[in-house]
Amino acid sequence: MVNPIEAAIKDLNNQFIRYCTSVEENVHLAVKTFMQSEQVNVQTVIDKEKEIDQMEIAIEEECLSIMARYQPLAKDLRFIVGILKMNNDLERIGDLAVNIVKKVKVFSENQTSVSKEGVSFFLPEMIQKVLDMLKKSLDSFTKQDPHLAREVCKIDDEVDHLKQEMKVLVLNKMKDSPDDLRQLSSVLRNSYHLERIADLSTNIAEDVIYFVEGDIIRHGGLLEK
Amino acid sequence: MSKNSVVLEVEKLNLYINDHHILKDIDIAFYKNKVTAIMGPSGCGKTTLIRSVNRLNDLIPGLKSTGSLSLNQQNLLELNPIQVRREVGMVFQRPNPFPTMSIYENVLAGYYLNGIKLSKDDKERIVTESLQQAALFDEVKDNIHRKGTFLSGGQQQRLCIARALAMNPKILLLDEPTSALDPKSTASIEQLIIELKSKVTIIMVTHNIGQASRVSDFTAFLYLGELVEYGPTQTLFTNPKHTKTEEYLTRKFG
Repeated sequence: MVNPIEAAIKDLNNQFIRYCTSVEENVHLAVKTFMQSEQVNVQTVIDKEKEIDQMEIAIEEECLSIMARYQPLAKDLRFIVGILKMNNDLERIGDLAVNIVKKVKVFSENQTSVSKEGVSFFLPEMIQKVLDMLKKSLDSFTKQDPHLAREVCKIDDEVDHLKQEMKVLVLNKMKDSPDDLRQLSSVLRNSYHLERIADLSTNIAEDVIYFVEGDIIRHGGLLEK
Repeated sequence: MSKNSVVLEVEKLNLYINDHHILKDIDIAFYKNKVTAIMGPSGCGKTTLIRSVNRLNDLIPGLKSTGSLSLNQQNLLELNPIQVRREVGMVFQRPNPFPTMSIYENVLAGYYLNGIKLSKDDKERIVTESLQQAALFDEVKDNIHRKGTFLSGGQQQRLCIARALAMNPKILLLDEPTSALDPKSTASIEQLIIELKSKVTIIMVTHNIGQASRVSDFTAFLYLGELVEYGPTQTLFTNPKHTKTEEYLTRKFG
């Protein structure tokens, strides 16, 4: 006999994994679209984001329903609270994917002059790290693996560092090439968006640690266990 | 919590009935003016534990217990059970007002049965105060000389609480006090428990996990006669330390 709350939580877990996959795919598509200036995919990312918004609402409603019907406790309670928080974070990651593709038009206007001189700067490196963080944070949820989640928290500092370096480089470049200001500004904005995705991935990883182990590690809480 | 706020300290309590080891090395301290809930699956020893506190197990054939239960530095196991029950009141699962007595007499039953004489004024005062403390006075004040059995289940249970409070106990034991009541009466008893803790230390056994989380300050989880986990209710219900507690709260068993 299946315990009803166990069944409801399992269904919610599966629903949330599908949601994670959709968000992750959309972020991948968004950064690819930006880097390769594929105008054609811009609308796809925006349309997908609308589906993601609907999924977010469905998950929140399911969490409320489980709380009202089964009054979850202990790990079940932490799981539901964790899902509610991660749900928010993922929805914002979805929004950032849209923000990223919205810069495609400007970026592609005169891309050759920007990228020719390597002005994409650390963008590819940053993208790689951010996608890695996002993947690890979502994997840490799927596998309920707090060790993997802790790795995510450590990469976050590297991304912050890259963003700072990029900022200096891009600002200098802006002084040298005022004609490329719009493109450079789109690069800068997107490095900020990427850094936000890294932050939100870290939040997700922290929530995984919380619901698996019960430890709150935000704001300088214990990272090592 | 400081040592001073401990009202009842149970140390190394073991209880056997014939060859059955019912309670195993229980160490637990109950704090003054707090509500402590004891929860666990059926047969884990919850009721046996609180019945030990007011010596109701004494007459079970084949019973043997070791260890100590100290109420204000006195070992309850060595006192006269009648004296113990004056200090430790108890309310049971099913409301059990004395059927032949009026509401008034029920409240004073502890005095009558102990042969304690009271002046009329004292009687009036005790009845009024006890019924007020049990949040029943306003509902019954015009029918106070009618039989207690005319009351609703929830009112009868509050009458039993008033009867226990009339003796001015240090500890009030509640053995699943709402399991025979409807949701509205349950809510009123739960509210009452929270209000009463400023006057008396409450230890309650409950099967209802939600009730333990709503009304208690501390929760003890018993499993197979052992105290698995004991701590502030908030911590225990959100982040229990033991796997068994986690499994019980997430309905993996019990």
